[in-house]
Amino acid sequence: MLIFKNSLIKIKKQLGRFISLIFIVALGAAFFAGVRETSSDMIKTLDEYYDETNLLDFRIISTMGLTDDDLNALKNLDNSYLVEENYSYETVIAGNATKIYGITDNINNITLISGNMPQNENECVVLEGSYNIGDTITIEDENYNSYLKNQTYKVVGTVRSSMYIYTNLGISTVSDGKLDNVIYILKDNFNIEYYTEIYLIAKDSQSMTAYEENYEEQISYLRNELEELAPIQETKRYEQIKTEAMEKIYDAREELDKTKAENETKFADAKRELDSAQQEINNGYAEINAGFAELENNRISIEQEFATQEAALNNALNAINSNISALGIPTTSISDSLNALNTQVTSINNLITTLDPTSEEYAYYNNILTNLNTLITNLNEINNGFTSLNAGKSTWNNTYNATINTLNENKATLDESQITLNSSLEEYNQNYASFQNEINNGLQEIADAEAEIANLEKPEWYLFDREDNSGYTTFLESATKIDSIAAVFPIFFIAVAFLMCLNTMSRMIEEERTEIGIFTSLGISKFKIILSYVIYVLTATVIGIVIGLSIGYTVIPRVLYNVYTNAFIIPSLKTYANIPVCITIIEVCILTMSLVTIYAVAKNFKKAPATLLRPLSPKSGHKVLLEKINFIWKRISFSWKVTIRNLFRYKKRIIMTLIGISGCTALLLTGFGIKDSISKILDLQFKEIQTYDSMLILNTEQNNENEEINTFLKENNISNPLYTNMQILSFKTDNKTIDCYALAFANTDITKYFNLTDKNNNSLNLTNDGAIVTEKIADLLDVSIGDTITLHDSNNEIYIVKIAGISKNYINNYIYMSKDYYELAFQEITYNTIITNISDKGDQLLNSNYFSNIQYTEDNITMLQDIIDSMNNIVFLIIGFSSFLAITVLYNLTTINISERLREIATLKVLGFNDKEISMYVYRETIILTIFGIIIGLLFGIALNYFVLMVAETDEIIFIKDINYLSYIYTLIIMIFFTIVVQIITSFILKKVNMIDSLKSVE
Amino acid sequence: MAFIEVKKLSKIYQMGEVSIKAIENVSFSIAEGELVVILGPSGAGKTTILNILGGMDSPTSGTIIIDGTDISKFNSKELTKYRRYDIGFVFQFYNLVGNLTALENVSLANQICKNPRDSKETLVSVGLGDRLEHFPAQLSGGEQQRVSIARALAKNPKILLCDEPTGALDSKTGKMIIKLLQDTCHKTKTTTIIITHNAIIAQIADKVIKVKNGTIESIEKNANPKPVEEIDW
Repeated sequence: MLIFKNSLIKIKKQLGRFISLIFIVALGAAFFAGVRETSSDMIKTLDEYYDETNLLDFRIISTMGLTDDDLNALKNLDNSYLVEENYSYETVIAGNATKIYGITDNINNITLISGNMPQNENECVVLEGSYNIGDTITIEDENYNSYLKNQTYKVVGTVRSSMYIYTNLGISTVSDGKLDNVIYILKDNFNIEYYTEIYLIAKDSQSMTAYEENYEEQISYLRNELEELAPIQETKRYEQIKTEAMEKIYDAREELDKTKAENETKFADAKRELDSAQQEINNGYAEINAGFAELENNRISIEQEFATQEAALNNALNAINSNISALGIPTTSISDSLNALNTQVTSINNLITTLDPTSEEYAYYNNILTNLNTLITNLNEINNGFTSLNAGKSTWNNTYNATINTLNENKATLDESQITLNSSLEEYNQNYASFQNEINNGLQEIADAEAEIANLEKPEWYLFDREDNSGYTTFLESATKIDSIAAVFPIFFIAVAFLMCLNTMSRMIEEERTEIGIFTSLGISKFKIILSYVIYVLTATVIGIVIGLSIGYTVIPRVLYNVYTNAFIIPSLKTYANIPVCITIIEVCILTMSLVTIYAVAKNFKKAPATLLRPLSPKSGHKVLLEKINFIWKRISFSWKVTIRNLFRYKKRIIMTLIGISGCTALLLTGFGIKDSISKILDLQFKEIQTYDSMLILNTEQNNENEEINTFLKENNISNPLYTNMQILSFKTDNKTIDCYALAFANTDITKYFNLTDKNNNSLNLTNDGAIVTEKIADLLDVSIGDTITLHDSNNEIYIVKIAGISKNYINNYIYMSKDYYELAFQEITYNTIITNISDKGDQLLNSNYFSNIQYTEDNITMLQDIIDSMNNIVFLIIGFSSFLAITVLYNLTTINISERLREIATLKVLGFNDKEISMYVYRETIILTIFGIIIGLLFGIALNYFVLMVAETDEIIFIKDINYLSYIYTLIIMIFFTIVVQIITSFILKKVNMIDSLKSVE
Repeated sequence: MAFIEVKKLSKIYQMGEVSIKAIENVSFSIAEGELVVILGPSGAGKTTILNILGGMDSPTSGTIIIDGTDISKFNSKELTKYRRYDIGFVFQFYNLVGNLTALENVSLANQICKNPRDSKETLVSVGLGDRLEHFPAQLSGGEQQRVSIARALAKNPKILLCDEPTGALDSKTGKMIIKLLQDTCHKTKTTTIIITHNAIIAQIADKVIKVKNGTIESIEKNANPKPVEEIDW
């Protein structure tokens, strides 16, 4: 009980010291726990996220797609836990490489952030930050329907995916090779007959923590199975495809033959019909012609008959006419003759009547009359003959004409039929030709398909795991980065805290030497005495740890994590109190603090109690080395001489103070240094190395410089367009795949936009012997000029590139090539990008349809600037903690300094030194120590900064390790400020020093 | 008017509700150049008198006139000045600065005075001419006290205040110190006040002020102070 009371009294008596102990422990614990914890919190948070969203362990894609058989085979593996098939399709939309996925049910689940999940086939969701809800996305690919059912999709929600946690989405097989957007639609919307990918989760993998070795081990069982299964399924698939294709060919051929047979009969029938129709027409014509001929014959014979009759008639007539003429009757016409004859008859008749019938005259006249009547009868007969001849002629003519008409009509009908038949024939001929063509095509197709099958390559499975996801690996790297920084800073803090505690405790025990002596002489056990000090220290330690851990576990991880939320799309941090780390910290703190205390107290037990009761004989002063250099020593004022002598009197304190001050200075400088170098690389990269303002992404790739585009650019006052082929390639180091940009230029002189220089600032020019690669690539692959490196594109195509130069670079990795070298190492060049120096006019250019997109350097800088700005959190954290540490250390050291020299100070007061002189008496030492501490600290800070930045470098970034002179000044100002603050505090303490103390006996 | 005139001096310490009268109604006077011993047992109030005389504390009431100036109402700045220019203090435990040599310890006090004595000469005068460059730890108690005296004297003070100067010393050395103080007082005519509980030392004083329970018991003038050699420890 007494012991506790004693400890309590000690705390009360030395409250300032007690509080500073708490502070030191708290700072050390907070920083150690916080920074240490951050990376494990980060990994745990992500692991939980991965498990929640069922992030895949493996992804299989095949060069020929995957089938239900594959799916079942995978499901049947012993170590597969979940298996799900999916579709994906990459296309360019508005110049952006876009990947479209089906929405999965079990693996790689997406998390809805706003809006709804798609319900209809024309709806989609997107990763946050690309499209807005309500936007319509139209697939530009004309052949979209071989992949998708719909062409336009409405954005109904935004999502997050654990597959895409990094703002840099990775590489793509379309456009410039950089994946820009990811879209999710319902699986049913895909029109692909095979699965493009299958996802797997290994058995028990989720109970392991991602990134850790036991996770790797757990999934390795499934990996082995997959590697065994792959060739089997590949072969199966190959056979299946081949069989299917062959079957198709056979079917096609059969079909073709059938069609051919069917159609040929049809065509033959048609042909026959056409022929018989022709025959009919021909017969018709023949008939008509025969008609005509018969008619003609008839006409000739009839006309002959008519002529004969006419001739006979005319002969008879002529004979009669001669009789008639003998009678003196004109014979001009039969009717006249008849009339004249009749007139004669009439007159004779009249005469006769008058004549005696028996007279001669009568007989004469009667004879004449009889002649006349015979003539008349004959003439009448002839006349009738003529009349009937004429009637016959007329009848004939009518018959003839009617027959001709009929014949002509029939002919016209036949002509029409012929025309119809002719067109039918033509049609038939055409149809037949096209049928023949079709058959030939079909045959050709079958032949082609057969050839294709003959050349069919075996499908190949590609197995990807989480390590192939750049977001996944980059995150680990970031977390590890914090860990390595964590390894440096907290050790620093703990070391300083340890030293401070040691210092404080030894001082305290020195002060209480007599008390220890009294206790010992009173027979109180050593254990109890030690315990009273240990309790004092541990009380401070425990309070410090509690404060420190609660700050360390809550504030620091969040501050650090915020930095990463700028580059990663990840859930908010979950902080876990890591019990083992907690226990380690508590153990380490309690153990070291106790040991320090026990050591300091136990030192005194070696002496007899009587010795302890006597005052500690003052340490003998001695001269310092400087005094031997008389000509300097002489010139130093008395008070400075005293200071110098004092300085060297307490060597332990000097070292402590120097370590404390220099440590804090180094930490501060590192804080500023980190900030400097990060902000500096932006300027260097974009103002000194890559000086172009923009990249115009061409709508269609060009094989050569396009005059039309050049003219257009000239019209818009854009000069010196640099035609470039830009693509993203990757290279592999021992365990990582790293992306780089490969640029090949139409011109060999690219100095307008790129200032490539080597380490020694010699400028590098493009040659046709090889490519210029950036420093980091050379470092990572450990290659130098003349060596070759192997690059892969997203189709796993391999290219070998020879290094002709290594250029300075800070952000990202680049490979620069001349056109000729590109064509040598890769393929024929096509330009997809034009590099220029414009920073606006975007709309004008985009409206031209030559360009699909414009990337402004300024935008890049802004984006990086955001990340850099958030890095300031880390810097402020370091600066804040270092400042606290600096103040605590300075305060602690100064109070110890004062307490050690309390008697001296009281004496000086009695001797009449005023407050200022007394303060200066103490300050002079602090000032010297602070100056030296700062100098050492700055030097140490340069090294620490270098180390921290080296550790913090990623595969894409090289930091400048130089520190701005302003940062030195800031550090200096802060340290001086703290020194002044602490001196002000101590001046109050000094004022309180009681002169009466000088009269007391020496304790 | 005497060189030092103390009138009705009282000092009351307020300890919460209780007030402790350390000294009450103390009056005495000391002439210039006088060697005075303030004698009394522990707790009699002699240290309080010393503190007030030495400018380290102010009285609750009463006046102290030193060479015509009343220091009882001095503020801390004026008191510092008073200590600086008018007082030489000799501590019971010497209070030397450990890492300064004897000479430097003297010089330390020396440098803040208006009209200091030469440090070296002062040390020679206290018999330490051959110990100038020694550090306190290398000196015996007596020698350290002599350095302390030299340090006080070098300031050329109006008053030399000695707080139990022999308290930490054996009798032989103590005698030597007392002799030094007496000789110095006579030689330099510096008013010297020795505070002690040792009645024997009182024999060498010109005046003995006896203190008891916070009040003056008696003030005796010693017509014939004994030389140090004659007193018996």
